[in-house]
Amino acid sequence: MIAATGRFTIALVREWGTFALFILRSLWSLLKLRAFFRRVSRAIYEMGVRCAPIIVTVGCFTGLVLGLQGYFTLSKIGSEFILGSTVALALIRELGPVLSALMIVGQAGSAMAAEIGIQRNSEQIDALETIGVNPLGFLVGPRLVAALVVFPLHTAIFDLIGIVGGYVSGVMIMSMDGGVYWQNVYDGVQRVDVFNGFQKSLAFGFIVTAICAFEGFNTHRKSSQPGARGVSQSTTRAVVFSSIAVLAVDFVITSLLG
Amino acid sequence: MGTPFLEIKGVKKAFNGRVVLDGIDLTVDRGSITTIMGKSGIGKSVLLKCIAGLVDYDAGEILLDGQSCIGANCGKDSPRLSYLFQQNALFDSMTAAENVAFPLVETTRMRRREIRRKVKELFEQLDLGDVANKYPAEMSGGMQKRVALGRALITQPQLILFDEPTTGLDPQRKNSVFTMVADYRKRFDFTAVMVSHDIPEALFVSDRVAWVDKGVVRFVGSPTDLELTRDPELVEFVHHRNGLLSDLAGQQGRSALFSDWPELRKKFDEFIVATCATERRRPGSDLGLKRFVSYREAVSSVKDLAREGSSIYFLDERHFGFAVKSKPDQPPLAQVLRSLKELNDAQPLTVMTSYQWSARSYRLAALPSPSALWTLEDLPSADVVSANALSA
Repeated sequence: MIAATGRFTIALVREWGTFALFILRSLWSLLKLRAFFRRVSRAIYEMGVRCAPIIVTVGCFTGLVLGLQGYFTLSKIGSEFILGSTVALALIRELGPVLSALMIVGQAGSAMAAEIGIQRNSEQIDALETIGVNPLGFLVGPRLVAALVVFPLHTAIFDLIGIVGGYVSGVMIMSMDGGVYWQNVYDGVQRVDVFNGFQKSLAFGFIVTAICAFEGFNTHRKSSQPGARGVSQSTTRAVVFSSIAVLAVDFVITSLLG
Repeated sequence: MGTPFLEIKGVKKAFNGRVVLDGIDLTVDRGSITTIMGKSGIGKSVLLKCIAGLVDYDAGEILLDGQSCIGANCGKDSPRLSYLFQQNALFDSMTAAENVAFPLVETTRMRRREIRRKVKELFEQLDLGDVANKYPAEMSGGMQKRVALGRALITQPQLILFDEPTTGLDPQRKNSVFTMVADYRKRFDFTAVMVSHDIPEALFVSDRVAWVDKGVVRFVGSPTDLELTRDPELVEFVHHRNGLLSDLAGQQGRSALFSDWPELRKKFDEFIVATCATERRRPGSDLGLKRFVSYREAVSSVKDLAREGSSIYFLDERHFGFAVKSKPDQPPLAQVLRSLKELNDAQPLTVMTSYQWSARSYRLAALPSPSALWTLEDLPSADVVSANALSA
């Protein structure tokens, strides 16, 4: 039992060390990356455009449900006039960054892990090395930078759409006063709330992208089976670990920032 | 040739305690084609990846042109190396032209216009004009292989590593690839190290052959040396394929020749060995399959010669032998050659026209065993006549 625990701990520490080195090397390789802006813009486009529809959809429904539930709960204690700030703060501080991160994980993160995994399996990554192109700089570095742009951007879109969703359910469905809703949003949301929300989304973006890329890049090393099943395993691991990481990091950041 | 370009000294590699390479020693001459053979899973590809710097070896040394740093990240002065992967490893999100241009775009400061010109030139040389804008998934296996070769050649490498370049190809395309390797080696002047299971096709284009077994190089030599080897395992490895070919051709193979030998010596006077691919390096379109078909046709044709009780043996893909009785008025050698030549003329479109037919006649009494037929060049009494000379 003790030996097994020891082995598990050593393996865990080794894996984290490998992951940390993977991130450092990817960032370092950015210094030598050619056509930096072109590659980053392409990654932003791929990650951003691919996820935009789902962010808008989920943001809209989240806001609608939040508005309805908030209205029902607050009306019981006669405080429905604070619905605007309730919806906005819930979205900006928590739900926006977390849900948009989870959506991007499901959409772009899984695709990234699968794509890099297939490139690993079909020796395209080895080909890059023999050609003299650093695969980390070519495949991972630009995506890490792109995530720092895409995640806050999508979080902002999610927040805005969600607040509008709250307006639709609170004002248009439940007949609350629109002016009260918007005034309450304006009064309730502080700059620090928005700042904290974006901090979270930046952290989520970086960690999620690193995990998905790491899992894809190490498909050959970490999967118990080769080929398509190996890619499937690494994609599943990427989504599961990223989702857990989002929630864990959310807890840590929330406890630190308050 | 002659100068060792690649030196592999005592290279060892183990994966999770399982020894794959246990002290590989091999030298490769500049400008040569060396084929590494061996059973599946014995580490041939690992050795190639060690040479390319894709896999770190545990012990030993690999020197390329005297330098130990091998790979693309060893500075501008290091020898350039390319790798042709088993599954081509083309970038699937890029077109054929983009794939070929990629090494220049990413590793040089060359202008776009210059890169486009070079790619276009190479596409013409590789006869790839119509696939420039196609994605790998839209191309056939042979085309993909050529595009991969184009990507390997665009940087004008000094060494190209071919990892089972014919995997997944039909026999016709297989031979096209080997022909391509031999042809481009001449044109682009690179050194090639190739891993292949394809015997004897790979041997036709190779200068040297290395057989890897149990983690070490058990044999190194020319393809002819390989045919002469007496190592039982290697003989089995090399000749079981020929045996299969002889079965396919419906002819008696080498093993039959060995067993029939005492009887042949009693019944016949002469043994004629006809060679049908004397120029191993001579490329021809769709080389192998047609040659094989033609070979069979040639055998069938000669079989019809009126020689009572003659016997025909399929020695390998290039040689077949006739045990015949000598008749003063009908020299059998001349008959065989005339027949082959007629067939050659009758089918000028087949690849057979690319080859010089030749034959040697041996007195059976002078040959103590059939293994002497394996040392054809060493027999001073051999009577060599070329079909073309005969025709003239």
